[in-house]
Amino acid sequence: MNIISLILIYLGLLVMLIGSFGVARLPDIYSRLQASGASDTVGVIVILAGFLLYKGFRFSDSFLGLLILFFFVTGPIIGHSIAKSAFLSKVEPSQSRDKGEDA
Amino acid sequence: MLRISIDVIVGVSLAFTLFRLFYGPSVFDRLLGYSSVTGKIVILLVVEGIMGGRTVFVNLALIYGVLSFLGIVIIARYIEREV
Repeated sequence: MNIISLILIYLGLLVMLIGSFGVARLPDIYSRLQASGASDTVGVIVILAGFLLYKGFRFSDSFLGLLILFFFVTGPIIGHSIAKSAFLSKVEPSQSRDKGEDA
Repeated sequence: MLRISIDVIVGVSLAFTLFRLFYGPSVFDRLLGYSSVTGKIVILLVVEGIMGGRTVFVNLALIYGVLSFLGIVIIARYIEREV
């Protein structure tokens, strides 16, 4: 259990936690998509990279590299497809400004 | 020790995501919640696969990731209403 994998795993967990908090709290679908699209992909990739070095790199762990490549490709595609379908269904981004009137 | 902390942190972030999955006003929030739950399930599978000793779960995580990715994209195309 070397230090590098420990650091990577905890960083990935932090990214994932903040992203999920953003998904729960943000006002409308588009800002939630921004939060979840980026944080999910990065969190998963960093955690899997941490597990790559967990017990020293063995050939059986090369499967994790495949997982990393898969999430590296498909993460943005998921966010894009949801945003596109929301936009085409005429979902309006919320105009609420915390500071009351528009500037 | 590392295993418990990973489970706890992923569980907390899963709680936020499940809140959005169940509460989400629009159907897109639910789809968003589902896609984020998929990422977390893959992490839990990989954790169980490597730390629990049974490396078959890592293969399972990949298969689950591929299939749920397909499902998400197809559902996103399905709920697209050209108003």
